[in-house]
Amino acid sequence: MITFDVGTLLPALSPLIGAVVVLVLDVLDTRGQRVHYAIAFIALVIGMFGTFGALGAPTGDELRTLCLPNGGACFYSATALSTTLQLAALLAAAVTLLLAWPSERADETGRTAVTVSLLLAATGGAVGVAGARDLASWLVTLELATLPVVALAALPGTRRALAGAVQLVTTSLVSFAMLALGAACWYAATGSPELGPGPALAATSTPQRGLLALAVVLVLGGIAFKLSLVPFHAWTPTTYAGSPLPITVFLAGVSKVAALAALLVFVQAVTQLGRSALIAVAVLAIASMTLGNLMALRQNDVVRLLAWSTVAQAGWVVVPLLSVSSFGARASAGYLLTYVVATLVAFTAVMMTVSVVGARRGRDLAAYTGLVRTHPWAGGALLLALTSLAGLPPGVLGLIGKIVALRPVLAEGWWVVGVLAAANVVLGVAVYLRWVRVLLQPAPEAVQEAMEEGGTGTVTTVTRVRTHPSHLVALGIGSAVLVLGSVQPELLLGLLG
Amino acid sequence: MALTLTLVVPAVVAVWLLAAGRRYAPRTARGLALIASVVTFLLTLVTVALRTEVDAPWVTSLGLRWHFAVDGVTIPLALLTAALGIAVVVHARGREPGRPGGAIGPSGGNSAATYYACLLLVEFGALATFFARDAILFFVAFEVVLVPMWVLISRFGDDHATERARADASNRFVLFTALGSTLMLLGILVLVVQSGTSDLGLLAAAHGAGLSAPTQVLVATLLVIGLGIKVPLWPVHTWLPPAHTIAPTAGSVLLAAVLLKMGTYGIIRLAIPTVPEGFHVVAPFLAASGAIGILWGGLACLVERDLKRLVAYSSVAHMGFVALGLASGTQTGMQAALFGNVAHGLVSALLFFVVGGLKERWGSADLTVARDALRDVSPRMGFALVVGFASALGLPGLVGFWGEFLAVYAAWTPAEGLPVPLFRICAVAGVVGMSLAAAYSLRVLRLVWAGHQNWTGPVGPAPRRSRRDDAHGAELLVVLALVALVIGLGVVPKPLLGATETDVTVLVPRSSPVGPASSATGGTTVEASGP
Amino acid sequence: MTVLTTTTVQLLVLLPALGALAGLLLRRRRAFSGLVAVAAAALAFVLSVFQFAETAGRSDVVPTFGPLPVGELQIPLNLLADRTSAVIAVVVAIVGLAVQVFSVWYLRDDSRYAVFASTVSLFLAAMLLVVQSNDLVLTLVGWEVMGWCSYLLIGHVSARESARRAAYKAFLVTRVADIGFVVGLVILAVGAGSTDIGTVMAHWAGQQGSGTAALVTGSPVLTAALVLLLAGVAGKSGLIPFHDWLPDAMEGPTPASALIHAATMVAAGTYVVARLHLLFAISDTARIVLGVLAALTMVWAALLAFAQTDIKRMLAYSTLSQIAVMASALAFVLGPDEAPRLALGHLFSHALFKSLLFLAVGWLSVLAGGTAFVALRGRARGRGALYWSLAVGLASLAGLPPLVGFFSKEGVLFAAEESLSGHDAGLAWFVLLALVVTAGLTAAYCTRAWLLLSTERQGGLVELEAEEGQDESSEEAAPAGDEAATGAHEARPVTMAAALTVSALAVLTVVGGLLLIPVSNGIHLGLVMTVVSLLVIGLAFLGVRAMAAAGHDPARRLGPAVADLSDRGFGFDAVYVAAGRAVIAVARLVVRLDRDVVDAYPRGAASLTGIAGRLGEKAHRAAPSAGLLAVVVGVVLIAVAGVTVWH
Repeated sequence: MITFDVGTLLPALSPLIGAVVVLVLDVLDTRGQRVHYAIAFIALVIGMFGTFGALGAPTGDELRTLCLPNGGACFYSATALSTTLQLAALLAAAVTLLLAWPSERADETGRTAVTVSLLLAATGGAVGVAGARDLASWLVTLELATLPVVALAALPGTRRALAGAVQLVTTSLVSFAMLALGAACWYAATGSPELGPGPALAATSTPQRGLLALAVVLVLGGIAFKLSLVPFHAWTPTTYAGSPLPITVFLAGVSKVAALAALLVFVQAVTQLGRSALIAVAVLAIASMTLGNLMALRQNDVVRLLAWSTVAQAGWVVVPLLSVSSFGARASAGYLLTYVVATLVAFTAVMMTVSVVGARRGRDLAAYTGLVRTHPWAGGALLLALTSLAGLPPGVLGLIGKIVALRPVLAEGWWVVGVLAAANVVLGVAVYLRWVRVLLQPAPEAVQEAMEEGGTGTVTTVTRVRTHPSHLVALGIGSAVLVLGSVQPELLLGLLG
Repeated sequence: MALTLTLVVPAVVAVWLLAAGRRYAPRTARGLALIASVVTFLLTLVTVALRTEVDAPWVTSLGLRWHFAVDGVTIPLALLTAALGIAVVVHARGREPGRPGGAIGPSGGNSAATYYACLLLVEFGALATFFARDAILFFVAFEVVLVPMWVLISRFGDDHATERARADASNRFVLFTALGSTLMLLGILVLVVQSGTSDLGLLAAAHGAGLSAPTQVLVATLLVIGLGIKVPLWPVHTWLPPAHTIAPTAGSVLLAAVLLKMGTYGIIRLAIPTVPEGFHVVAPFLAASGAIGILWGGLACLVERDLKRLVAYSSVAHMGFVALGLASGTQTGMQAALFGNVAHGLVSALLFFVVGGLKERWGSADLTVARDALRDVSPRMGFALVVGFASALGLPGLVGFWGEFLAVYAAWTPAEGLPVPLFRICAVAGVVGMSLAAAYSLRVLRLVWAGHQNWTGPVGPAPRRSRRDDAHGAELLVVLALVALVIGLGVVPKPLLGATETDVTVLVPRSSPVGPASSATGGTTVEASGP
Repeated sequence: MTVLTTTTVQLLVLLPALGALAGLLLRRRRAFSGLVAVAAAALAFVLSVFQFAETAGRSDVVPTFGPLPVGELQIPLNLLADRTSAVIAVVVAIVGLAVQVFSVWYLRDDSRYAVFASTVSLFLAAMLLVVQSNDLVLTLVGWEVMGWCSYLLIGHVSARESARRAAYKAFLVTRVADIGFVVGLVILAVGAGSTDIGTVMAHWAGQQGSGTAALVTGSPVLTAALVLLLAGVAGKSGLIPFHDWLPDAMEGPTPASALIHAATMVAAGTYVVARLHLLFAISDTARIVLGVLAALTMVWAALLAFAQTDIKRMLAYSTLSQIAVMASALAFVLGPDEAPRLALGHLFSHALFKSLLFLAVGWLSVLAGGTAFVALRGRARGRGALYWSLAVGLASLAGLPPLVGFFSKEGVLFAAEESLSGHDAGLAWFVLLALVVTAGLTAAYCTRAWLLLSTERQGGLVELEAEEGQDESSEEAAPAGDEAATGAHEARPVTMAAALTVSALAVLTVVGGLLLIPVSNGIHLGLVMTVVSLLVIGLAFLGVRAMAAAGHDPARRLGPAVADLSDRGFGFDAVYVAAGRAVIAVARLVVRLDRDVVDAYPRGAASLTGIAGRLGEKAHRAAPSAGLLAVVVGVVLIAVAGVTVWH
């Protein structure tokens, strides 16, 4: 009889259950929309509680479940690393919902339930894949984390949205193909569905070592799509720009967490193979950093800018995996955390600006002139987020992230990659400070006058009137994590064990 | 405790000013900043007196500790930084942005609080850098100053310059420095990963034990290049002149007197003791680049038209001497470098205060414009200018001399194994550079102080037209204090040299001194050599 | 060493410096600053006399701040009090006092008098530091500070472009020469591992002790060091090719010229060489360089002095020539530091009579309004004390017995004469010849000066115009044209103090011969050379008298072309200008390189990113197809990489 430990599975289950509940409720009563969100939040919060079990546990020990009888393989396990990623995914999902709320309330087409349930489903997938330890559930959960997003991206039905969705779906298919192929190779090489060190180790002695290598690399390629690493990034800007902002936030947050979680599952399975020069990773990482920064440097549409910055940051996320080890894996996850936090805050600020000055103007860099004066909180948070992405204090979190990411690279002695990365730090600084400069400039005349006559206090209130409280909450959560992480990065990095 | 407060006070006040400062009137903001800087200075004094130390875990997963301490190498720079922290705040009186007659930055919005916050943040970052005793912590602190200084340049820079020019200057500064510091980070990480600790004390004590020669060379190269960008060494100095030209007076002062020092201090703290072999390989290049910088900067100053750019180029030259001293790898060289560091800090601060003041009065710093002689119109400013440039040309009895003379001496006798001919050429270059310094310093004094050759107006002592013509109030106070220091330490250099002496012996093993020959034989020779 | 000596010597250096500081602080109160300045100088004089008494037959090493902690190198920063230092200190203090007293009157209308007085005090401190120094570093300190004070004083009347230029030129020329000086000092110090002069000399001399061959020719390193040192000396003392700054330096107020550019600073080089003479004794090359430079300079300068149209410039050239004379004595090795004593003897006497001459000329210039001979023509007559002072001064400069100049010059001649038999006889002959020629020339220009000052012009108007015409130039570029001189004149009767000062110097010049005895212990007169030189002097006198028949300016007899040319120092200034131009050209090149090469890389990088970005955008506009293509490429790349690299 297979073991079944609800506590361990809770993080993955509760969003899925939540999704079902939402759909059921919607069938019963088509009017209530807040209810859906409420349920969604409850589901997510429950999930978060579920993660607390294994957080910060020392490396090595894990909670296993879904194990075959008499000490057979387990299909699900929760290590410190995986649960941290799950927590990140759940939090990101919560922020996404907060941001989605007002815009959803605006239109009365009754799509709320669908949106919410899709979001929850995708979240569930993302959380699940982090824990999956066998090919089947790994593959399924990973796709579960992806496909709903396609639907969400297409939901508005505008031309741009559809274009974005199409790109997303094509890429997802190719990626799925590669992942499936990779999975097949793994199975062929190890003869076991279990994604664990054991089978990999067993396979190294057999002639199928090559197959195993191919499996790893194919999986890497497949994940590269979802992480939008160059050259699998093409969909990113289009989809980001096309989809409604909350969905973009989801893509930039939850999806990335899911993708990396999936990758790490695989990487940790093969860590036992010892030091290996994964030059492919180096190439992908540096290529994405460079291209991402170069392109981001030229964007005036902030969403596209963030899209390209995602590409660049993805490079930073995978660069530690040069050292195929739990060390590298933790570093990679650690960087991902810093990136997700900063990006979510940035998007939240964008969201708020959009809601103030309108969708079209809100995406233009010029709309952010003097934001730190006109809207200190949004401006301040955005400034912190951007500096964190650039890896400069006051965004200490990002700075520490850079250190974390570079350490394994140099530990493996790849200092050439390090130098290239250093060059990209400079590019990144250029990218983000370009935006920061705008924030710091004197506010445009109109707002100035408003400040003069109304005193400094009013403007913020004026804008706040049009800012939805849920945005503020999201901003609050995000910037709180960001500030805490900057003061005491251990709070985040410590979770990884 | 005192040490932690030393760092916390400016940081907290700065954050407070950023958060709540918009509602403050400039004088309120200045009051807060002044209090903060004074308290910081006093705390620094206490810290220095008690030699306190803080050591607590910070980011355990990185092995990064919150480890600050004081030693002789730190003390002069820390005091310099804290003192200048007060000076820049005092000096900004009546110059705040957004107030009538405010000389800082383009007028727009009341951003005085932001301005002061940036000053405090730079001070905080610099102090943290000087106190840091953990390699990675050093890097973090090193990065802190970037954004505030970038804001100072881009947001509060010379309002005569175009937005574009300000953006260019500030970006050059931040990008160059970011590249430098990231390269430094690579070096630090290799070092830390290889030797398993990031504690600078342990690393220095190990003297590179257990590090293979190639690793040492790699680390030393990365560190020296990375920190050299900040120093700045030739040929990576091109960010400095524009930054200085655009930056507000206080910005220039902090940049020249504090930020540049972080580079050389970093080399002393990180590179020289931890990877001696590696540094030994890099030293000749460092010396050469220093020597070239001396000549390069001196020559550039001979034809430079903009006074602030001129002072910036002279900074390149003077830091060249510091680099030369460091490269020599002897204790004399270290002493020369450390003294030169502080000396240049004081002199460049003085010069930038004066030159900045002149630029405010003149509206430009163009030397080709004929103005009536400074010694007639504003004798005090004139006097300060004379002292500043006299010290810049290495006049003995002023602070500039000792560092440069000793650097030349040290370069003439580098540590064993270094290419002596190269170093001697560098030493000669240094001396030539000193006379170049004389040439450009006197050029400036002749044009600005004694009287411009194209000046056609009345000459001779003029009745001062308005109080603003000459230094007064806060400005006078700051300038006089610096003049006093420049002369005082120039006449009595011993305290400063004594402060660093013991710790230098820790950082650098003593190279075998040349034994003086017995004087007995000397006596016989005298008779023999008679007719 | 007695505590007394210690404090004496320390105060001797310290007091004038404090005086300078106080004078600067009190600059608002003219009377005070004047008082402070004079008091400082007076105290320095008393202390120097005291030191003289103290150091009878011993020498003491006097500590100052204690050694500097600079790692391997030892910098003890000691002073030395011995007979030599004592004597020179005395003469420096005398001249300093005289100048301070005199300038109270001379600069009474000058709004910057206080600054002037303080600078002079500071200069005194620096000079005394050099005199007392027993440490190469202290010597360098004093050396450079003197140069700085000289810069400030030359440029005192900064309203005049000519003064600004002169100051600039003076400092730069000496500073360039100091490149050699500093490097030389460094080499010496490096050898000994210490900057203590005693240690340094012991080290190098000791080194020579090993190996007899070294006695003949010093070790190349030492020679290099000494020759470099000589470059610096040549700069300060205005030996060829660095001599041209001194005449221009006459832009400074006359008292400053008297102190710095006649009596002390320019002679300091001689003093330093004398201090290190032990080493020069070893290195023939260095001494030959010194001797040849000195010989050339003394003749050349004396020649130029003859045709000067401005008396201050004439005195400047004569200073150059006389400094060379004293330096030439150092090119020889007699008994244990006998040569240095002779050289310092001439330094001593030259300081007395040259400062006398300058102050007298300053006095006269105030009465006559200018220092051009045209203005001064015959103005000395009937001036009583002034008349006699000028007479004594010129006579002593010419070397007439029994004035101090005669004895000291004979001393130098004696040194050369003695060496004719030595192993550097060649040099001795050369120098001796130069000395004799110089004696004649000196007598010649002194005679001319005297004639011009003491006789009215009776010559035809033609010549008058001619002179006026060609003197225009030197009138505006009026060296000595400090405000005091060009301002209103007769309105200011000389004060008793000033007059007494000049007279006192005159008296010293007369009886100086006796004071000379302790300096160069005893009077040295080579009979032959005495006779020869006196003959030469007499002939020169008669010759010039003849040329000056009917009140003509003897110089004009050389033909105006020559006269004007030598009046402009044979355009030697052009050489400096050319050098400066060359440096500026290099500087322009550097600036261009800085902009177009060094800075090209960052700018290039910036534009490169721009271009790359633009290309990237192009590539990404063609949406899905390109995307898919990229995908395919990526897949292949991944697969290949994976399969290949794994093993």
